[in-house]
Amino acid sequence: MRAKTLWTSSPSLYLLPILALLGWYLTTALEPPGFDGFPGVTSHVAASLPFAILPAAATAAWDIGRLRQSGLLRTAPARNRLRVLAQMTLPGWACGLWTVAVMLTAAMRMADDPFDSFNLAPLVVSLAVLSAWTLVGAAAGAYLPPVAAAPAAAIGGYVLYSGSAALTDPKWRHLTGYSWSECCTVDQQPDPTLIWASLPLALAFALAAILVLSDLGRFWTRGLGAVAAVATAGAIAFPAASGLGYIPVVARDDDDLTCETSRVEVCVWPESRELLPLAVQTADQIASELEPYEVDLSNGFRQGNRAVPGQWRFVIREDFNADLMRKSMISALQPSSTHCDDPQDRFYAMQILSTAWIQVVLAEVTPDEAADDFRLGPDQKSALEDLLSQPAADQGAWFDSAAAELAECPGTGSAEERQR
Amino acid sequence: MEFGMRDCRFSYRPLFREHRVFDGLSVQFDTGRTLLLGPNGAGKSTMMALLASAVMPKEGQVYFGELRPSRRREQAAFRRNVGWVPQRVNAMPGLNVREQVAYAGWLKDMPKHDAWDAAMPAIEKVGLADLAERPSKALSGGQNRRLGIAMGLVHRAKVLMLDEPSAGLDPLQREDLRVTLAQTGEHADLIVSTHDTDDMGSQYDHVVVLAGGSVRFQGTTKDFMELAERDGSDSARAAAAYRSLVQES
Amino acid sequence: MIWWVKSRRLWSVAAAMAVFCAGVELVGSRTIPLPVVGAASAIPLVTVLPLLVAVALISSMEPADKNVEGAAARPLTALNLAVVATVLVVTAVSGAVLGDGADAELWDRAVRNLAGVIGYSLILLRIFAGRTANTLMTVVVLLSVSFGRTPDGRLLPWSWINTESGHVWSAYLALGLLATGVAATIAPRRFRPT
Repeated sequence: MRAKTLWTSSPSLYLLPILALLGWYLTTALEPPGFDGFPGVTSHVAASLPFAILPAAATAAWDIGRLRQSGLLRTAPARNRLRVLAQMTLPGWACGLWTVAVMLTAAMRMADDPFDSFNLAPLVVSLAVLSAWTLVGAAAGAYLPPVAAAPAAAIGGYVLYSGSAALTDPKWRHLTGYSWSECCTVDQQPDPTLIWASLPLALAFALAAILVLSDLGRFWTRGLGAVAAVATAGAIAFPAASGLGYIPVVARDDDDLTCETSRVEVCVWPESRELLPLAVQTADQIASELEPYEVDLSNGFRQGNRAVPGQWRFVIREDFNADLMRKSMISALQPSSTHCDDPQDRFYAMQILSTAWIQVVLAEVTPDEAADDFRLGPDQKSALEDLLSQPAADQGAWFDSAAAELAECPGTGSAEERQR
Repeated sequence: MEFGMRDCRFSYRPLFREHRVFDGLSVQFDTGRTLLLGPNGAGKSTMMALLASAVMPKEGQVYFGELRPSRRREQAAFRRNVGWVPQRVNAMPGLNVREQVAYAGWLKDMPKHDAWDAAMPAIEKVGLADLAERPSKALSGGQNRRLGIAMGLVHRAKVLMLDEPSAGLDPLQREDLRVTLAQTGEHADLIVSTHDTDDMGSQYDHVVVLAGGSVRFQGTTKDFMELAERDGSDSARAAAAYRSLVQES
Repeated sequence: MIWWVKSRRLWSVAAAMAVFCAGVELVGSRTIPLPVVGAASAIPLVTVLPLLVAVALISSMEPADKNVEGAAARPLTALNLAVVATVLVVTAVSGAVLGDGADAELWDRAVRNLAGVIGYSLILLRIFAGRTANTLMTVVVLLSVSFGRTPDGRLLPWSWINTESGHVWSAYLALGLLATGVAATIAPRRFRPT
């Protein structure tokens, strides 16, 4: 078929401008990625991928349905059947690809340093998932009643990809590739194993759809081949997916950190290097204010978006001034208890008290205000007042021991996982 | 009973890229057997669809006696009286041949049992009795044509329109079809669109020639044949007469 | 009538209904994180489940042969609407039987959404052929789920499908859509897609 006829007779041509607007609007309106580098950009694209899958699968189903209705598939064309079908699937696939390209461009424009930590794997998986659903859509167009094929392909791809995340067991989202949308914070990278969990099934679905569409052998042998392809992919992907955590990430390589030590060591990631002097200055000021309390700051401050037990991790945003940097670092000194197994709320009480104490000591908050802010009960409020009435060194020692106890508490995740 | 259409306007794609088929077409069919002739794209199938009330004209009326399909209360009565065999019928999912023919009767308001009983004789008339229990989607192209004819015959309409009924049939089946149509013509008026003009003098009473969205000729078969010179076979004369009418445009 | 039931593949509507009812009862309150503009991104499955029934319903309303059924003396439009009514009544009764306590609100929402989505379908089916109507209806529902909120999380008028069961205007809107769809189906048509 002539390329011009292929495009003008397919709905894809008319969909392109609509999809461009939709992809752009959706990407810019969604919550920005947690990490400004390339994994953040691709994670943004992976989150919006259903909007590329939907038109791609539906258009492919529509176009192949047209071909089937015309009766051309029943005739014996001189051209290879798969080649004819591939040509007809092309506009649908191009629709999806176009949407992904628009979303990628929009996400890159939103990111400060879009090529930082460049990693092609998430993009490859997204494109594989898109291609697989496009081909599944084409197969739906070839076999389902025309009136149901396009909606079935649209709903199937859209809901199954996103719906995997609704299941409690995280391995389903690793298998569909949805997990790539949950990557990453500034101090995390996608787990390399994730590609073995997500790529095989996408490729297998694509292969299965091609087998079903082809005219190689009888229908049942092709069906059997398709099942075998999916089963083999499952055998590869399942063990990989089962070994991954809820959010499949690994800690970013510490060697990338840029550190500077004055009174305490302050480390930031390369993309925030410009704010390192401000961070060091703020850390010095905090260290001097905590000096009478003899709080242990020997671990130093380290840029990061998640609380990690035993470390003081602070957030940096591009628009930070001295005041915001100070607030961020004070927040870093508030230990977390969410990882603790805490049926009696003992660790939570400890966390609340140490947070209130740090606020009183560093943030010029009165004990009454802290009690209000953190909703301290009468016992906790009097415990705070008792603590504040003790000598400064004792207060600092209490804080250090509470922080150490919270870092070591029995609870979820291995020590290694907590570090991720 | 008068059957025809008056001042009918009809277009496909009325909103975008309008393709006007009829612009004020009027035609009334005489009782008996009418042959509808016309080149490809002349609007024969559209005319039959309008006459069967499967599509409605933008303006104008289709009528059978006093009945107008555009009047909701009269629609069912109109459709009970007028049968139509389109060029191709689709196989109905899940139905076998007899069920599909009976379904066509049921759609024309026949009681279920009557439709079921009438289906088998109609199937026998078109020579599909051996395949009555076969799923209708398993029929070949020619068998599908005969299924369509059986679906048209089943409810014993007063006017039966057949669109290219002989297309896809082998010579023997065409001969059988002629016999069937001759029998049907004894109790119903027939309007047949076909390019098969062999023995038209003995098969049809009237001829209507449609071209370019208008009626070029309407009259008896004899009058139609008079348009050509008297030399040659009937078939050659019919072709010459037809050519003279169509080439006028 | 059995022939009509068979030719319209009404078993697929029954199957879709069964999946819908089981889906609402078993996983209706589960959420799927569809990409959504605005604050909330967790969409309860009950929001998209009606699509199953609506797609099956439109597919069944598409005659196997438009020429044959287009010239039928039987009131096929009335039969189609009877199927719609049956689907809604069965859903409502299932809701009344199965929905108790917290489930009652879920079922209210399921019935409301189903009625509204069927309304969309009937309106679109009036304008377009079945294949286009079905695809557009799916797109309309998925987009109103995803673009139903302002960036600050406020619901927009067309996203009635996202609202909780007690939302009066959404119920009116759904009923309005259904009534419009029924009226569009009944209204005489001059042109039929052939």
